[in-house]
Amino acid sequence: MSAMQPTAPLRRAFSREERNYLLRQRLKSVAAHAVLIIFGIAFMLPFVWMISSSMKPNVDIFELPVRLIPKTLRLENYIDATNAIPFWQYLWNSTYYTIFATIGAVLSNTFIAYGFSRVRWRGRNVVFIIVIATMMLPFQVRMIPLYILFARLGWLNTFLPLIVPNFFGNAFYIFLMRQFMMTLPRELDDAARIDGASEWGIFWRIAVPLSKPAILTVAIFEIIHTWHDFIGPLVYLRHPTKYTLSIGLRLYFTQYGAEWGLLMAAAAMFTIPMVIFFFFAQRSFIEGITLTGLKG
Amino acid sequence: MSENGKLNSKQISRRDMLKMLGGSAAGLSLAKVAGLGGSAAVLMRGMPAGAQSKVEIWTGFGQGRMADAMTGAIDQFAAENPDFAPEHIIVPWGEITDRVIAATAAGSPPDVHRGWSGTVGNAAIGALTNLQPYVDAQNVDLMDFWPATLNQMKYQGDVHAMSISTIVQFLYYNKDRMREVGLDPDSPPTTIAELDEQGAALNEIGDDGEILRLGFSPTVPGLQVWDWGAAFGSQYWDEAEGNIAIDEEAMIALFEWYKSYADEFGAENLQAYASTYGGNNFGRNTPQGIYYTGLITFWVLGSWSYNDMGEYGPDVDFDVIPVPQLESADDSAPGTSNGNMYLVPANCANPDGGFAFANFMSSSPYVAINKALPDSVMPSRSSLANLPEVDEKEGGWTILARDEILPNSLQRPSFGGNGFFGRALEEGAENVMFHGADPAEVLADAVARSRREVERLRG
Amino acid sequence: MFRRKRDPASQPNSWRTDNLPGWGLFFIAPWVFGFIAFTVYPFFASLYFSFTNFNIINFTPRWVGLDNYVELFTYDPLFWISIGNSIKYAALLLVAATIFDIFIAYLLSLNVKFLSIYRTIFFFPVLVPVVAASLTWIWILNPRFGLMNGLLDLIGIKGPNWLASPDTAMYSLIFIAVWGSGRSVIVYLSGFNDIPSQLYEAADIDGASGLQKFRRITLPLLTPQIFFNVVTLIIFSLQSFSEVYIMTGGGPANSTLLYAVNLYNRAFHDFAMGYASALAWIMFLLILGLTLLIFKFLSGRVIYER
Repeated sequence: MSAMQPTAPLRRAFSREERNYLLRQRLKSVAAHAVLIIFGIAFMLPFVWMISSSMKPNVDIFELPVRLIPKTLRLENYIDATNAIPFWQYLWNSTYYTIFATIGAVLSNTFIAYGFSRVRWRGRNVVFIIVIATMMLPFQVRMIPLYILFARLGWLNTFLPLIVPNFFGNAFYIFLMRQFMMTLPRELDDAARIDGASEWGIFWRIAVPLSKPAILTVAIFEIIHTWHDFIGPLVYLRHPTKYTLSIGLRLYFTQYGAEWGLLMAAAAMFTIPMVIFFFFAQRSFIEGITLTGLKG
Repeated sequence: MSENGKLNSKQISRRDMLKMLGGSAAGLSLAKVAGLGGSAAVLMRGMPAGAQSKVEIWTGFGQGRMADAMTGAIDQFAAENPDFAPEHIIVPWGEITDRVIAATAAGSPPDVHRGWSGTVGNAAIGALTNLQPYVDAQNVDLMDFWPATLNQMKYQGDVHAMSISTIVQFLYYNKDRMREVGLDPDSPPTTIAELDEQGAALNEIGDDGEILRLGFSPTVPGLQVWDWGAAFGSQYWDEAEGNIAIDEEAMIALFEWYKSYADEFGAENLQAYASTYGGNNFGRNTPQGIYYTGLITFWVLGSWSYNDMGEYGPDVDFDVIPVPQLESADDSAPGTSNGNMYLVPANCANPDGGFAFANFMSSSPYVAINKALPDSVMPSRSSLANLPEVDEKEGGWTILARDEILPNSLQRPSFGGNGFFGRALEEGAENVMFHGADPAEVLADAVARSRREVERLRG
Repeated sequence: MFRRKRDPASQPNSWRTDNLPGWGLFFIAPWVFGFIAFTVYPFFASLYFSFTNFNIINFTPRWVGLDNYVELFTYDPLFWISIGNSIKYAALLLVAATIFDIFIAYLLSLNVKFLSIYRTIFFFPVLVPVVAASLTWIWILNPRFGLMNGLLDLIGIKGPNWLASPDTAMYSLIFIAVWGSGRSVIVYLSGFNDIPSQLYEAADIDGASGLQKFRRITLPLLTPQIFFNVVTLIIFSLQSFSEVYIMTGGGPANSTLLYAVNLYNRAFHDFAMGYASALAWIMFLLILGLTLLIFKFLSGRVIYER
């Protein structure tokens, strides 16, 4: 990168080729910005439309020509939306589900990944291949028997079928954390062992603190996943007091489909926690996704 | 987990459950460690000895005047039956049947739930409690029910549901719109030909074919295959044969009629109209609904929509008549009749309470006057349908429904697999309208597939 | 450039060999339990159910042999419709998303200013919950009052019916899925950033054109990311359910009836659990076959830099 190079003598005139090259670079950059801005606006429009509609009074919703900026603002839509459905109850259910699913995912996968990366044992690689293979198994194959299993355990209409499996590891997260833990210097383990640390001690005092980025990544992925989850609650939560926002919002739509203002207000309130979360954890987000694309 | 624990161990012992038991114990203890004891505790439904027994009721009456009427009926039940403590749980209409079956499979169904004639078909997979023993023991006068509704309450000869009220279909029409285009609001269409003709005079079409206002289309608010099929002279079920049977000629005529509308407006314009204003029956419980804003003039819906008009479109001058019928058809009927039912799921905790509530809803004059009539549906017992309050109902819809439409309507199917059959017919009709499929072929296919489904459900 | 340490497992003698085997099993014990309860058991149970007429209410499934499979292949029209729809959806989405995501990632990799803002924007749709996004799209694509046709109207185009027409519903869904594919953009971007700039400089000296550089340098060195994204995209798109279930429910006229939607309807509307299990198994074999095929086809071509 040019910034790293020693500064070139400024006064020397650029040769023609150099000037052309710089011009080309410049044009390329302008063109790139132009395209990115166009696509960027297009990408944000749905969200802008959501917010815009959420503030329109119902009469303005069905109005032509279509307006992006509301003629009159009606912020009461947000209050009405929380009254039209048990919004706070659903919000709490979504939060509850997210918190416990994430705790489960973080605890179990860190633990399991350690067993697949820092501890060596016969057959480890074979078992790890089985872990990877389970990723190929579609959710739909497991859905029906698991439904019956949880039904017979009396777990339907509770969050248990959604949360408990998280405490037993997830192939994708195990893979992710194993890849990360493999890169930690093993000298640390050895040093700790010489000091008489047990395997548990090494896990707890060395592997866990050093794996923070990966742990954070798993947490972030799981938070997004559970907050968005639709089919899990759809299948298992059949009692209206247990609905998460995902289910509650869709049901509101099927019952009061024409009230777009309220619906968009509810959708916005459902989205905003994720946006806030993203701005706090932005760096880890991007790093985490980059991590998943690592050459395995 | 007192009750559920018992239930589960009984079911688990049946098949390959050893593995699961281990899993459940470990899973549960782990869940408790993780602080999830709270949600597990939700399952416990402790019942102190000697107290009232809880009756869990699921309906879709969430908000508004219908919900208030339901609450009133439940309070009345509690007052008349001190042994039972009713608990009302609201489930979205569109999912109530699926959710009850899923909860039944899970061993935690409600004790009674609202449904329709079609829901009785769930008896085919063993999802319902047979109510015949209760009916016999309590000498319920079944002959008081409308014959068609009584038929719908039965599955293989035994009562499996108690009907509170019976829905008939109306053709609703907007008199203001008719006046605007110079039609006589006092002679609305009574035949399919008149409906086509008057509807065409009311359409308002934009330059590019866009439908600005609709006179009539059989696609709005839905295809309503059962009702239009009846109006064209078809039946759906052969009692003697115990299987699906349609009048092929009538149904082909119906599908061609559907197609004529797709051709007339252009399929894409009909789709645009539906997509633009769709959502919950075209906004029927919002003032923006197409019915209250003059966006449609003629439409067919159940009588239950009658009182919506007063609530959401108080300024619209509208009226109702029986569904127009095909003149040339021999056995045509003004749509179908559909019993609103209360059903008791199989293996529920309190079937006695469930039946008590269902029976109360179907036999109480209080309910007939304060619940059925405000919902603009006819009580299913003729004794209740002939109370003075029924005749006095303003607008005269009650007399029209009871004396003219109900006796002539076709009974809506309630056999096991009726939902599948209805979907297959609608898919077929869409294929005819939008993909130019051959009506005879799609009908034969829909019937053949649905018969298989009926057989599958029989086991 | 920051380099992670090499995988210790690949370095000889770097590990103690006298580890107690018990510790490994200790740590993976939760997985073993979860594997048996939530994978092995459902795997064989669904295989068993697929040979029965199980309907979840009566707990006495009758063995029907291959009936479900015979029905599905020789009779059920929805099976073939849904399989065709799913393949169409996955294939078109794969092509559209891959081209678009690589293009955007390429632009982002040009050392543009405000990179983090752009990156946030393209990642943003991932943050919108599926249900919220789906409902918003239904409203955007409303033929008369929606934003999309409103904008098209401004430039004098009469927009189509999008989700409401059997001709355009599938393409609308693919369009929306591409909008939501920001995760892949970030992965491709990391791939672009990993390509050493010396390679381009060397190519410049040789007088290579932009297209040549892209074909000879960029594309080959991007294969690990392409491989990763293609495999995950295929697996996910063949299992797609939520968006489609919410936005179209499989309609109009079954034009968006994806395999997973049909399966859900059969299992949880008709409660034909045995039949739905057979459907699930066909899906499993299809995904397995496709994944193996891609592995075979692509893995030989993936170029790892180091």
